[in-house]
Amino acid sequence: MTAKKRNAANRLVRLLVLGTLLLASVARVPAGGSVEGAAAASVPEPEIVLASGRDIVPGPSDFFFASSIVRVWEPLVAVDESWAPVPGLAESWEMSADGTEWTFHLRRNVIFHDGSVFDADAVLANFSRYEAVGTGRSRFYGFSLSRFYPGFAGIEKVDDYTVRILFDRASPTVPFSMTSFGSAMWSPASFDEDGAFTGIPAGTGPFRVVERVDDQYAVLERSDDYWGAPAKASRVRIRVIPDANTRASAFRAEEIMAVLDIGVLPPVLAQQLLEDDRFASTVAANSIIHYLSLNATEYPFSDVRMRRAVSLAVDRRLIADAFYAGVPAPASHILNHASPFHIDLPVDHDPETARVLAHEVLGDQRFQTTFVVPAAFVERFPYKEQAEYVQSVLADLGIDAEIRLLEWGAFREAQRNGEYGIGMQIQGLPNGEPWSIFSSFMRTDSGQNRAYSLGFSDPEADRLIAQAEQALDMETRGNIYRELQRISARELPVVPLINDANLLVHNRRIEGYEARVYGVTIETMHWADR
Amino acid sequence: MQTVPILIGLSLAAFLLGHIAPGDPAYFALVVEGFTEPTHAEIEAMRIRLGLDRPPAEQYLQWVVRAAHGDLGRSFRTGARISDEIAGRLPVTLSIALPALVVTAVVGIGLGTLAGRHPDSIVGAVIEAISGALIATPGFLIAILLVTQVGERVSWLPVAGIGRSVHLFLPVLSVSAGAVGVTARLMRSAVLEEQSKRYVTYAHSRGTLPARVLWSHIVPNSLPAAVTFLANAFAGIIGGAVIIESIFAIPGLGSFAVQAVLNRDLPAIQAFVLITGIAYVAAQFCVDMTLSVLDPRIREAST
Repeated sequence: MTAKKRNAANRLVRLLVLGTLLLASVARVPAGGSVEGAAAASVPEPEIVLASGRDIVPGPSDFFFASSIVRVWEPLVAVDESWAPVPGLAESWEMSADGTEWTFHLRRNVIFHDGSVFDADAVLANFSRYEAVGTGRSRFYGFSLSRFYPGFAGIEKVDDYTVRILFDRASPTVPFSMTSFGSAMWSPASFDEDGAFTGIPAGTGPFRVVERVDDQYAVLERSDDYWGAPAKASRVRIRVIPDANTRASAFRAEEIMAVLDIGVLPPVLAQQLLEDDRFASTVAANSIIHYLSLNATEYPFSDVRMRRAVSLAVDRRLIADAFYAGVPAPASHILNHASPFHIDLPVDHDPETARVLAHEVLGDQRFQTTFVVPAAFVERFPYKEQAEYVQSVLADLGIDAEIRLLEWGAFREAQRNGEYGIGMQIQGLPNGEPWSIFSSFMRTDSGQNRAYSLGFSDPEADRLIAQAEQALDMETRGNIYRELQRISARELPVVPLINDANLLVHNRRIEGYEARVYGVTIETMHWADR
Repeated sequence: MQTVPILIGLSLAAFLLGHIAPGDPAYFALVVEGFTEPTHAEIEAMRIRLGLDRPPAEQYLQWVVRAAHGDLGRSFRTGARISDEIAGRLPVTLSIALPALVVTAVVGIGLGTLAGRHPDSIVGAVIEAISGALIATPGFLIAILLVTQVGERVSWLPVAGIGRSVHLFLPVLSVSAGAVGVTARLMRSAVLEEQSKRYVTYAHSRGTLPARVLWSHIVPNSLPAAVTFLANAFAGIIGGAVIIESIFAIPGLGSFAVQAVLNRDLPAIQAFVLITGIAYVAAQFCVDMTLSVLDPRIREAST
């Protein structure tokens, strides 16, 4: 026993010494390089390390494998900064006179990362995948053939670089729904007959994924065979750092050079970082709108005067300035300003009129209600502060709202059952064509209108939405959408607050890093000294 | 043999709670909050695809039968094999939990013994104060302090991530800090109590070396409470280090469980409950074994 005890004591001492030595031997990470970057400092060009809050290369379990922002795959139809369809892997397209056929002319000299050629057969194989999967799970945009291609009746090869998509009804807005996530193209060798990825799939983008570990990191390498301007950085690592404060610490420790993805850096943290000369910011409007949902299936929000009172009482400029670093723009209606069909309408802030309107509805009574806020958004957006501000505004109108942070299941259940008065949430644009937004929020019998207990019903809006669905030319649709925006601002199916914007921070050691409406210019990003 | 009913009870409780909780798993498998709102038809189709249209009893029994054959099913949310997810995450969690257990045991037992041995000295008072402070300070606060001061300010260690041994220092320290305090307190009390017993006085009066009395008699007899605590703390780290995992960007079992709960991913929740249940049962088994080695009375009672 004595010998055993002595051994144990010796082991203890050894462990302590070893621990001390290990701690002492950990050299200070050289300033200006991440751990990975420092390790790679001896190679000609160190990889650029970026961070996101979630895994944006989630792998084979996700229908898209990776977010579009890492530029690994490309769609047939891309979007420009006004969210309008522009050529991607398809160079041009045209619609048949009756709107039931769309012909796409494909880009030539494009090859997938596995060396196979992108042509009509590859497009047909991808559409077979869409059909095989039907509804694909994704954390970016849920894929659904019936939603992205309503009335899809098949696809045929016209020649090696021309395909024709057939529909069983007139479908004049197809290029809009095909943008970005709507027409992602992968090498046919990358997926099996059920549409499941068989490994790291091969896209056509300026980067290819060479390595990834779930919820840890993904490594991208420049594709030297890219058909367009090649990416400037040779190697990029995207780390997953779930905690926003840790991301800020990683910035200061220069473990990461930049962040990407929506809501990745709360504005307050971004402002703190920007006090340091090492960092710069880049801003772009994004496709998200923040809004208040009001339960208009019940008194008092069933009365449009009460909804107008809330809308007039809220100071949207204050919200943008105080909680979002002044970056977003006040919103007057449900359609985000990234849509090419968006029109600017005045955003009124008139507390006096708001009080009068509220008094007309409530009289001298005060109204008690619940204000539900999704707990998940508190981490991404300044929703606690925003909710407290709105609560104070409502109190001024005679509404005592009790704020409840609910996780998603409970939030959705409360909305579905109408067990709430006010909610705060976001809506992103699915694509530049706004029909689905208007239909979801403003159509009397829409599933979303009911699921959120919005209780919105406006015969004129119903008529216009039905009319837009039948309209073959975009000009007619554009006119209808403008009218729907005016109705949205006047009748308030929801109370829009702000059109969000991406405020991203990067270290000045990298250049060419610009925020975009969805993502960043990862392909032009490079070390400043190279 | 008590293990099996415990695990069945745990998995049944997890299953029932998952079904009672508000929110439809089929909806959560499809929704992308603020971007994609699934239609009623899509939700119904997904419900059938996930087997949620079958009676709950049938769903549960099917899960039990599959789990008994080592098949934990597929995630509702991602469709990935849950056994693969856990196989990827368990080693990550263990890479934190095992070093944390060693650090807690060595430092906690060492400090507690020292404090118990010299209760009225400055050393004893300092250890008492430190252990009190460690117990009173939440692990996440220690984690944030370590990230901002050690990781960010002086850049001695990486602030987040895993992959190299240096990544382990800060999370291990954060996870073990509070447990060190508790272990030291438990050990100090036990040592104080043991020291006052007659067999110790007798050993001293026989002229046995004080060090030998301490290491051969007092310490082994003082260990049971600390060992029991350590085992439970270890099992707790396996399933419950969620905040630490988030702060240090460690994709372990804790974050897996949180995602599963938030997304009503029932198979993932059940698998997690099963794994943590096994961890607790295994920890208890290790405690029993260790105590029977340490204490002949327990060994004899069990034979």
